[in-house]
Amino acid sequence: MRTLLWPALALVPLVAHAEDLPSHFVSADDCHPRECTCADGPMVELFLSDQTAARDAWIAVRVDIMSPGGPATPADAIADFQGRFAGDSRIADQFRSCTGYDPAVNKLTKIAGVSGIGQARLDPCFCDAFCADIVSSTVSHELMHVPTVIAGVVGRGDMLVACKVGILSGAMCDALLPLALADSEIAAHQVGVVVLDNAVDDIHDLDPDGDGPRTRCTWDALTPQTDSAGLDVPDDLGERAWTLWDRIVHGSARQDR
Amino acid sequence: MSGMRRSWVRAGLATVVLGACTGGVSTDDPDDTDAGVPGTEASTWRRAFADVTLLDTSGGVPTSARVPLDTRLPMPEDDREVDTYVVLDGDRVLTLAWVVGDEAWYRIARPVTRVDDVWSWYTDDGSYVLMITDGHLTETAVVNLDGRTVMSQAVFDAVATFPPTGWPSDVIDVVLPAANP
Repeated sequence: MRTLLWPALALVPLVAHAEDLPSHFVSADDCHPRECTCADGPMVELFLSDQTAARDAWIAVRVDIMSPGGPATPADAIADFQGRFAGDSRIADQFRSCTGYDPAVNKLTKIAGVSGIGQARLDPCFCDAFCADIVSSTVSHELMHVPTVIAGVVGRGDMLVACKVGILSGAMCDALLPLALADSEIAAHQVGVVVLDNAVDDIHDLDPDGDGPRTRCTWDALTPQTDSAGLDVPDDLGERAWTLWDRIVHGSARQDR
Repeated sequence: MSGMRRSWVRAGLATVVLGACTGGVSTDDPDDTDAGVPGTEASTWRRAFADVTLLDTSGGVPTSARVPLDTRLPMPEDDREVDTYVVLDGDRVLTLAWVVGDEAWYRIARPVTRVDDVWSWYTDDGSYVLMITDGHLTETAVVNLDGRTVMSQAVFDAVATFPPTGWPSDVIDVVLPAANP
């Protein structure tokens, strides 16, 4: 089981056992966010830019892991990510606006996680403060983690054992677990990005006046405090992230392309 | 939370996450311990050992050694292990995995390329080929990391029963993206 940490509501992973999830967290079925409306457009779009920047930061971390002197442990990789990415403070502000917000209970550093039976659990404050598409993107992100981490570990399993018994050593061994973590983070963030991207399109299609679909919903965009500018992200790695997502969306039906 | 479900479906995530959202943790019959016929495509497999070779790209002599393998591997940034088995399922490879201590285990399906009795896929780091030889599943993996190449030839044994003792009965089904572009 792992939980999601959000310093300033930035997506940062940590692993914890099921018993580490706060007792006030609720299951996704008991999380009842309001439907997103035109008024939520700017925040959904901001969330999208935030998650895109976080994904790109993880792609940059992956490059670092493969570079001399790069992160040698999963904790190092997380620290590298934290050094590259800080969440938008306006998202944190909205989290604090939830009904009954209690800073002693509703922690910005822990808002969602996955239980030992593979179900998402969320801080009800998060469910209250944000509209459904934002919550949905977070749930999708979380549920993506465990299977992708397992797949990454299994794919490198023989090498992990060879490192453990000393047949392989050095930077190659150091990179194995951080890579499994980074790959999982990239996949999870990409899931969230696509959910939010679809949500922005949906909200644009809403009728702001309620008198029929003659007008589209528009808004003045909030300027993101975080973006991918300045990140050392190779173009082809970004494309790979989208390719990965394309495969997730279309699954085996697209494998013969 | 109908809006959330709608988004998941629309994003094409149904096979990945919708099951968990809707309580899709299914309960298999705990008495069903059929692991298939040992040594055939219908078997459930566990890693036994691997011959790992570090290839020296500068022209030196490759270093090789046989490594005994356990079904359990470490999870990154976690103090627990994941217990893993493999099943071939048509043109998919299933990883059956239990993060020790969790109340459910994962059945992770990855679509791969199957040609006759060879299953193959590749990732950013390397390539993988599975085939059944003399009643054993073998996996040849060539992985490139840190400017070096490692070739691993792992041998799997068929297990007599599955799930193993201690595994929970609840299963989470996940379909990963096809590995081959």
